[in-house]
Amino acid sequence: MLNYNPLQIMKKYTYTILAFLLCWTTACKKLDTLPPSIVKDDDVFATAAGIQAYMSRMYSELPIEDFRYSPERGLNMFWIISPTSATTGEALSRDQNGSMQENTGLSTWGDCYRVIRDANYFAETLPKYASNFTNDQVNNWLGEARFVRAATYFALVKRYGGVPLVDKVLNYPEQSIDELKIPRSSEEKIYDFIGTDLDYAYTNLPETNQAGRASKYAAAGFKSRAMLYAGTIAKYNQITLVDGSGNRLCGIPVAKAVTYFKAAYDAAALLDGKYSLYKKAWAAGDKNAQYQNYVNMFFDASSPKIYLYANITTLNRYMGMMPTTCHAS
Amino acid sequence: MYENFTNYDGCHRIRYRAKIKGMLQCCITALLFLAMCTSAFAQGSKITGVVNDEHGQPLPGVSVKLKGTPNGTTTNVNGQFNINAEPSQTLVFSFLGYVAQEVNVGDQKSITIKLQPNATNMNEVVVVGYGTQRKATVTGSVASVTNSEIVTTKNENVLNMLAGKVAGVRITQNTSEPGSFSNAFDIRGFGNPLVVIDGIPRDNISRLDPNDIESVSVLKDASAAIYGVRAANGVVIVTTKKGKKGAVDLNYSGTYGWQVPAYMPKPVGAVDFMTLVNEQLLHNVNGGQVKYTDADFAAYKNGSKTSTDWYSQVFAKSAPQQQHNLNATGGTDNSSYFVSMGITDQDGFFKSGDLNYKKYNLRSNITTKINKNLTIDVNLSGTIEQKNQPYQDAWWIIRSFWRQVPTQSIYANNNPAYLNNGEVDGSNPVAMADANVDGYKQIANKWLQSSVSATYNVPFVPGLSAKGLYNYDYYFSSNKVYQRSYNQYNYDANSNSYNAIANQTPGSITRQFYEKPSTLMQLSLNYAKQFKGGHNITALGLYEESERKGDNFNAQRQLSLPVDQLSAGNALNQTATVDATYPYDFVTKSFVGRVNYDYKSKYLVEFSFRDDANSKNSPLKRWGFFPGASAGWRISQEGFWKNAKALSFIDDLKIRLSYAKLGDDDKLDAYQYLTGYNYPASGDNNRLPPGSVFDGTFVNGAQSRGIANPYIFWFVAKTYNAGIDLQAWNGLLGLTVDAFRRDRSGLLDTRADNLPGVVGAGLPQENLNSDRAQGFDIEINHRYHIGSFNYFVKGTFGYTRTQWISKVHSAYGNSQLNWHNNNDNRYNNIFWGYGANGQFQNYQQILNSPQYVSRNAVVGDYILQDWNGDGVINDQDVHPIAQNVSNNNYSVPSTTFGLTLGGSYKGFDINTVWQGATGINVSYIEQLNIPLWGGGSALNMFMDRYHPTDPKADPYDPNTAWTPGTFALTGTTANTNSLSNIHSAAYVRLKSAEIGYSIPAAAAKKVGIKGARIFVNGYNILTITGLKYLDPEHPSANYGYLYPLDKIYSIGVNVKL
Repeated sequence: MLNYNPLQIMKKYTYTILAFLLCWTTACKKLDTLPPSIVKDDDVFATAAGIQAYMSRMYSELPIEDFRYSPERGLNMFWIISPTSATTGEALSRDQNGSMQENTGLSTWGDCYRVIRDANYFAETLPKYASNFTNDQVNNWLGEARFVRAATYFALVKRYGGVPLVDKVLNYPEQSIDELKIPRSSEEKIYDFIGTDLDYAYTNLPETNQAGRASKYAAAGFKSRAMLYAGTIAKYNQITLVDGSGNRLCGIPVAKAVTYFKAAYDAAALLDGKYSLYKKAWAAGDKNAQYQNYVNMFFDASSPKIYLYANITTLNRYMGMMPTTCHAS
Repeated sequence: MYENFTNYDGCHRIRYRAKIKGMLQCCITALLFLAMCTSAFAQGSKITGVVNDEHGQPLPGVSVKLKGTPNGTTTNVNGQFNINAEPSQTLVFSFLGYVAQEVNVGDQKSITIKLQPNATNMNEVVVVGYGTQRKATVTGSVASVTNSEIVTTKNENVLNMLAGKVAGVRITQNTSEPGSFSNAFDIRGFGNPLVVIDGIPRDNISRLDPNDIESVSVLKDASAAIYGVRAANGVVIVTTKKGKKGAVDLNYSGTYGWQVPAYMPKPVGAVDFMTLVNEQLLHNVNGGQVKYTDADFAAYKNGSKTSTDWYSQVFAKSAPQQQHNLNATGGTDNSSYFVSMGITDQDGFFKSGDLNYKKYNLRSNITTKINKNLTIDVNLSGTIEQKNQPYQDAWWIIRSFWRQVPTQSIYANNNPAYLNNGEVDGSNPVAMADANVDGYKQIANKWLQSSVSATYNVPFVPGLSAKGLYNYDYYFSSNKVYQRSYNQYNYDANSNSYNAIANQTPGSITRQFYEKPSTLMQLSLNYAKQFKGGHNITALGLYEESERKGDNFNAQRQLSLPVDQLSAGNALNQTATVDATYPYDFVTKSFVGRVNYDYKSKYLVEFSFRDDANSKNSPLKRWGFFPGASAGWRISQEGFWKNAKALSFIDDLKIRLSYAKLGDDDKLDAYQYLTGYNYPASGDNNRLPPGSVFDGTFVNGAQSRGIANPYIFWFVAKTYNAGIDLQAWNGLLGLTVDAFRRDRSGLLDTRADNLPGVVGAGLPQENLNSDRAQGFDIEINHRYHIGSFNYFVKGTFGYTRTQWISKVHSAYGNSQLNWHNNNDNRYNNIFWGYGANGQFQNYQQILNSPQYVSRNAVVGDYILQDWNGDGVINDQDVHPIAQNVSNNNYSVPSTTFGLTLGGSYKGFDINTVWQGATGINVSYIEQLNIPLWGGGSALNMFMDRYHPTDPKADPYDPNTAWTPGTFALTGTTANTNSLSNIHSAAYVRLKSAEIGYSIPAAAAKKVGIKGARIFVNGYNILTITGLKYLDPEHPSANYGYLYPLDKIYSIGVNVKL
C-alpha cells in the first residue's frame, strides 16, 4: 500500500465515490406517472367485467318510479319518512302526506341528463375498444346503452314534455356555455327518438340477458308502453305549448295518435309467444284473485317476467305496468 | 452516571422502564465507546488575567477556554480568571453579545483582555434555502431562532416551544391531548407552510427532539421563492445539530413534569343541578312547577344521598410527563459526529391511565472528510411513537361526563359490578374512559429518515464545489382499533335485578395500515468568489428530483369472542377499504438557481428561480417558473453615514426590498385534470346505491368523474416585502421591521353560472378567485448587563389580515343581498350576526324597552342590538360584528406577539416567555352555551347567572328580587350568532418560565463532570384574558369538547460529561 502515491489514492476515492453517487442519484423518475387511484377508460373498456361495472352504474341511476321512488323526495330515496298508501295511479309509491304532484325542486332533470351523458359516452367510446370483444358483444351493449337512454328520455318526457335532445357527449370548455344551451325539442320528437332508440335496442339486444338487465323483449315491451303514452297524449291531451320556432313543446298533434297506437301494438306483438300477461292467480270475475294476481306479480320470483332486475324491490314494477297498458290498448 | 436517570423510577409502567433501561444501557455503552475514540487532556503552567468590557469594566461570567479542548473556566465577579495552559496553546474568550477573541498564550503569565460588543451579530450565519448566508448581507425577510432559545420552553411538541419566539409565525395550541399534536401554525397568516428538515421537505417538525435542533429559520418573503411551487405560504427550515471538532461532549437533559388541566370546566353537583332544573321549570311565563322538592334537596344536604361527581371519576387532577435526551458530539479534523437519543412519555388526564403517549427519537449526523476535497455527510434519524387511548375519543368522553346528571350513580344500585346505563344518551363516561371496558385505539407511527450527501471542492476552480444528495424517508403507521362490546345495567329495585343493555355490539377489530415512502435526489453546483474591487458573487445551480408515494388499507372484522385480534374475527361481514386519495404517487422535477452579488457588503442583490414540475399537474400545465428578486442597501456602510457623528450610535442599518412569484399546488392532489372513473362508485344504501344487482349478485358501478379541467394549475402568489434591519448603541438595540403583501390568484372554485343541466356533468374546478394578505412584523432585541447580572429582551410582533380580491359569485338580487354576500375586496373571516346591548337589569328596563320584547322575557335576558333602529330584531339587524371567530371550528388571531425576558446572575439563570394574541374571538355552542343542554347536566360556570334570589320566587313577578350574574336565567340561551355569545379570546400568557442554577466549574470538576444545571420550569402557568371560565387558546371546534390545554410544572437537569 505504501507504494501508492497518496494523491492517487485520494483521486481514486474521489472518483469512485463521485461516480457511485452519480449513478445512484440519476435513476430517473417519470413525470407522466399516473395516479394509481383513478380508473381510466382503458381499464373499464378492456374487459366484459369493466363493461358490466359501467352498466351497473347506469342501471343504478336509471330514473324509474319504483320502490325507491318518492314523489316528495325523488328517485333515489329508500328512506321512508311518512309512509302512506299511494294516492295516484302513477305514484305507486309511499312517503306521501296526501294527494300531491311530484316535488319539482328535485334534481330529476340533472340526474336524467347525467345518465344520458353516461349512455352517450358509452356509445361513443365502446367502438374504440371494439377489438377487445366479439361483434355480438359490442352490438348487444350498444343496444343496451340505447335502451338506457330511451328509458331516461321517457322519464323526462313524462314530466316535462319536449326536452332538449342530447344524443352525443357535450363537452366543456371545448363548447362554450352558450353553445351548450340546447333548446327544447317538440314532445313528438322526443317520443320518436325514444321509439328509434328502442327499435335499435330491440335489434341489437340479446334474447336473454343477465337478470336485472334489458333483453330484446324488454325493449319491445318498453317501446309499446312509451308509444301508448304518446298516442294517448296525442288523442286526449288538450295542452299546447309552442315555442318561437314552431316546436310544439307540450302536446302531440291528434293526427299522430293512430301512428303511435299502431307502434305500441306492433311492439307488443313482438312479445307474442314469448311473454304473456301475468295471470297465474287471475280468475275472471274474482276480484280477490285479481288482486292477489297483481300482488304476486311483484313477489313471484318464478314469473317469466321480462326482468330488468332480479331484485324484486327495484325495477320489475316497470314490466308490471305492462299488462295494464296492454289492456288499455 | 446512572443516578441521572433515577427519576425514571417514578415511572409506573414496569415493562416500559425495563425497555428504557435496556435502551439507555445500549446507548451509554455506545457513547462511551465513541468517547474513548476521541479524548484530549492538557496540562501546563498557570496563567491569570482579567477580562473587561468596552468601557473597561470587569466582565464576569466570560468563558475562557483552551482552543481545541473542552478545558476552560469562567471569569469571577471581578472579571478575573486563572487557567493552566501551555505556551503553544490558544485561549478563547467568549461571552454572549460580545465578539469572541483568541489569544496565543506564548510566554504570557498575565493577560488582560478587552472584549468588544458584538455590535451587529451580523457575522452570524442564517440558514436559507439550499445554503447559508451571512446575516449582514441577507436581503430577504428571514427570521431564525437557535436551540438555546427553543429549549427554554418545555413541552412535548416543538411547535409549542416556538410559540411567540419568531415574529410573524403564528402558533396556537389547540389541545394538550397526548399524541394529538394539534396546532394552528402558519407564517403571516398564509396557510400551511412548507417545512424543510435538513434539506428535505418533511412532516414531523412537531415530533423532533428539541435537543437535536440547531436552528429554525423562517423564510417569509421572496427568500422562499427557491422552493417554487410549494413556497407560497413561506418555508420553515429546521437544521439539526452536527458534530463539533474536539473531545466528546456527552450531554444529558431530562425533565419530569406534572400536567394540570388549564381552564377545564366542571359539571355541577346534585344540589346545584336540582336548583337549575327547578329554575328552568319556573322560567315559564304560563306558570311552572318545580321538579325537585325540599325533601330532595335535604337528602343531598344531610348526606342520605350522595351527589355523583362524574368529572373526578374520569378526570385526574394531574398527570405526569417526562422527557429525556442523551447526546454525544465530538470529532477529529476529518470527521465529526452528533448522536442523540430521546424519550418522551406523556400521560393523559383519564384516571384509567388508558390515554398515554410515548415517543423515541434517535439521530446520528456524521460528517467525514474522505480527503482534502471530498466530504461525506450521513444523516440518519428514526422516530417511533405510540398513542394509546380508550376506544371512545377524548372529546366524546368529556362530552359525556359533562352531560351525565349528578343525581344518578356511576354503578347501578351502587354495585361496582354493574355499570349504570346513563340516563343521558344511555352512556357512561367511566365505561368509555376504560379501555378494559369499551376497547381501545392504538396509533403507532414510525419515521425513518435518511440522507447521504457528498460535497466535492473542485480542485482547479477555486470557489466551486459540487454536491450530490440522496434521501430516502419512510413513514409507516399501523393502527389497531378494538371496539369491545360491553353491558350497562338498569337496576330494577322491585325484583332486585339488573337488566343488561348491550353496548357496541357486535364488537369489532380494525387494523389500519399506512406507508409513505419518499425519495429525493439533488445535484448542485455552488460557486463563491470575491473579486478585486469589492465585488462578491455566490451562485447556486441545482437539479432536484423527488417521488412521494402513499398507500393504505384498512381491514375490519366483527368479533364473536372478546379477543382483540384480527385473526379471531368472524368470516361474515369482513371489510377491507382504502382511504380516499390513497394510493398516490407524485414525481417532481425541479431546476433551481440563485445568484447573490454584493459590492463591498454595501449594495446587495439576489436573484433566484425555480422551475418546477409535478406529475400531479396536467401535461398542459406541468412546469411552473417561479422567479424571485431582492435587494438590500446597507446605508450604514456609506461614507457619509460613517462620517456623520450624529448617526454614529447606529452600528448597522439595512434597507431591504423583495419580490417573488411563488406557487401552491397543495389543492391539486385530486388530479382535477383527469377524467376517468371512481371505482367502486360512491353510494349510499338509503339513496343512490353504489351499483346494481345483476343475476342476483351485486356489481360495483364505475362512476364517471365528469368533466375535467385540463388547464387547471397551482395558485400563483406574488409576494412583496419591504424591511429594515437596525443595530444601534453597540448591540443594545436590534430592530427588524417588515411590511408585506401577498397577492394570490388562481384559487380554485367553480363558476357560478353553472353548466346547463343537459350537459349531464358539473363544472370542474377552475383557477378563478384571488385574495390578498398583508401586514407587518417586528422583532426587537436588547441585551446588556448590570454588574454581573446579564439580561436580554426579545420582542416579536406580527399582524396580518387577508381579504378577498375577487370571489366567484352570481349576481345578487338586490343591493342588500349584494352587500351581505358579495365578498369581493372584503376581509375574510368576518362574522355576521347581531350586536348586543347587555342584559336586562330589572323589570322597568324590560317595560321601557324601545324595541319589541317577547312576553317570555325576564331580568337577565340578553338584549340584541336593534341595528337598523326599526324597533324589531330581525334579519335586517345582521351586520359584521366580529372577525376571526372560532365558532365550532378553528380560527387564528390577526395579531400575535411574544416577549422573551431572561437573565443570568452568577450561576443562576432565568428565562420567561410571554406570548399572546388579539383579533381572535370565540363562540361556544351546546354545553358551553346552554346549561342542562339536551336533558343533561350543567357546567359550574352557569351558576354565575341572573336568578331570583329566592329560588322559589316567580321570575315573572315584578317584585321578585334578583341576583345578577354573567349568564342569563337558566332557560334563556345566548344567541350564538350575537355578541351576547361571541367573546374576545385575546390573551397574554406566561407561556413558559424557567429558573436554573449551574454548579460552579470547580464543583463540577470535583464530581468529575464538565458541568451541571438544575432547573424548574412552568408552562402556561399564568394567563391574563377577558374570557371567562375557558382557556383563550382553546378553540370551540368539536362543539368545544376538545381535550383541554395543560399547565405543566416541571423540574429538570442538564449534565455535561
